[in-house]
Amino acid sequence: MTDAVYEPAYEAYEGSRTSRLARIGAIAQRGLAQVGSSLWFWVILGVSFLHIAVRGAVLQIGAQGAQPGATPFSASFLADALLSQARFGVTFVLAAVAADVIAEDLETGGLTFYFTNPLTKPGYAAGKGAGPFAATLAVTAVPVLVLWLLAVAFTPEALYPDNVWLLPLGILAASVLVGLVTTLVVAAVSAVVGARGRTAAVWVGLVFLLAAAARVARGVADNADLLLIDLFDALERTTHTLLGIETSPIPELGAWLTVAGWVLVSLAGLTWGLHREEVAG
Amino acid sequence: MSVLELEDVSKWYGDVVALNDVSLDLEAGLTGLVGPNGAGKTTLLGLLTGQLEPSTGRLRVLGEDPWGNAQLRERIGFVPETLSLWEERTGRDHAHLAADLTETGTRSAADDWLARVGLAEAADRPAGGYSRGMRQRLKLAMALVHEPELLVLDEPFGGLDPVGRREMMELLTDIDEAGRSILFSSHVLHEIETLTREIVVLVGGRIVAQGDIHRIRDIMDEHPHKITIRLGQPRELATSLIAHDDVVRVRVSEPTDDDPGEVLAETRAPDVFYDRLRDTILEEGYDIQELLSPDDNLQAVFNYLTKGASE
Repeated sequence: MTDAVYEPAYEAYEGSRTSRLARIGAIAQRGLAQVGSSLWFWVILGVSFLHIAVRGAVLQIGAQGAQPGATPFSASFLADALLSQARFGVTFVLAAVAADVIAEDLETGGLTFYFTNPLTKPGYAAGKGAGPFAATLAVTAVPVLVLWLLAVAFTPEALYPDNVWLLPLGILAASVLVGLVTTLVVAAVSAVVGARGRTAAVWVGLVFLLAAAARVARGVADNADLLLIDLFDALERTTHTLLGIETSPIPELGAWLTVAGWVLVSLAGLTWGLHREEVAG
Repeated sequence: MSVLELEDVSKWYGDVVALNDVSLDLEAGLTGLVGPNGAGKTTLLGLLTGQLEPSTGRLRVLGEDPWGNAQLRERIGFVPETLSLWEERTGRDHAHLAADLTETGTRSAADDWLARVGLAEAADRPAGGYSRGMRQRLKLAMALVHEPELLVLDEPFGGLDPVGRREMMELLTDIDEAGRSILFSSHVLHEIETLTREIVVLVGGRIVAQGDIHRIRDIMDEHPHKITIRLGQPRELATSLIAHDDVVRVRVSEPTDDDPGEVLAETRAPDVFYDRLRDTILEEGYDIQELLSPDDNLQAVFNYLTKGASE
């Protein structure tokens, strides 16, 4: 820091200073409020809990007549619920609450405002991503943990799966991974598309086109590895790993590499989107 | 010590040269940066506020390199031309966000600045309902919540009606008197002259003049200053304007179903003209929709300066 340069009448600030984390938190706080005020978020959350209620009912009915080894309560049962929530709940909740977060700032000149304040680009991205990330947890971790609680309550203790007390950690870890990766991808799409209203369509289109392409490719080549074309299939395999399930046809290493590839490409897209004005003028 | 120092700074985007070998040394105070659209003013301000990296050259703002220097931004307040505000958020929320993003800004300081720019009563209304003048004043408050040493404004008078211009000029004068250094850009020389004598003239990415504005004005007075006023009663306003000696020409376009009417006036004394126009609008209650000063006239002055600089 050099000597201050100002005219004699200027009085330099000598009070307390806000931390960098608190400044990022200020953006995150507004993002969370925006998620909370989104009607679509509450609709999708409501549908998510309906879905969980149906699975809970299946669980209770199954538990009432269950013979040892026949109870529906298992890691796979919870993984199925989580992955359904990831593929549909996360896709649509991000389309509703995340698609425009960066595109809006690109359109309105908000980026100039943020970046002429003492804020770094990673700090801005972290703040902007916090609300959508929390929304993904709300439609994955929260309902599936509720389902786990229902399963623990409905199922006789003797029929619990071996890793019953580790399952919440696995659910949480898998949800965090799904949330971080998908939020990053949507943020990158938002920064690259850069126009409000289009990002959601690009994101939803990307999700379903890749899923369809992966299935077609697998059918044609009869090779399960080709499912890795689809991000959510890769996330399915990582979720199985985190929940201790070993039955997926998708190779584990390939799944982690695919997820890492999506992260790297998304970081590149996000970086390009946030620097585009420096390049294009 | 200088507030701004540029040594042989250039900035280009691909094949397009936005700033060409610019050297500049500015002391503390109020300085106007004037140039026609496309002259490189916004690029220069982008470099000074750390948004852009110079392609070549050395740049110092308050003694520091601004590129990638988040800490330096704590000492600078910037009012961008392009920020269009978040329509659903209130003015107070905008100012609080600006305060929350800085180390030294506080929400109470933000409320204080809202009051000082005359937005205390409107602070809890959505910014979508604000007039252009209110938006500019809100952006000014947002740039000042952390009490910066240097205030940089990009076209702060753009799109403002005469009353809004006067309010903004009064605010900038007050801020200048409080001891902050101010650099603001405009493509209308008259606006700058009202506020300061210190100007920098930028044309085609080069600085063609720097110093006392009166020398520039002497050149400009040879060229009538064009002003376009869009309003519902163009003929009435034109009749009032043409009666004055400084007005050399007035052209009227009548209103249609799709467009308001328009008055294109040419004056040799823009200072007098703008003051009188403001009074006339207030007295007669004209509904002014837009007030523009086309570049053509100013471009002629800049062309003259450019030619003079190259000879």
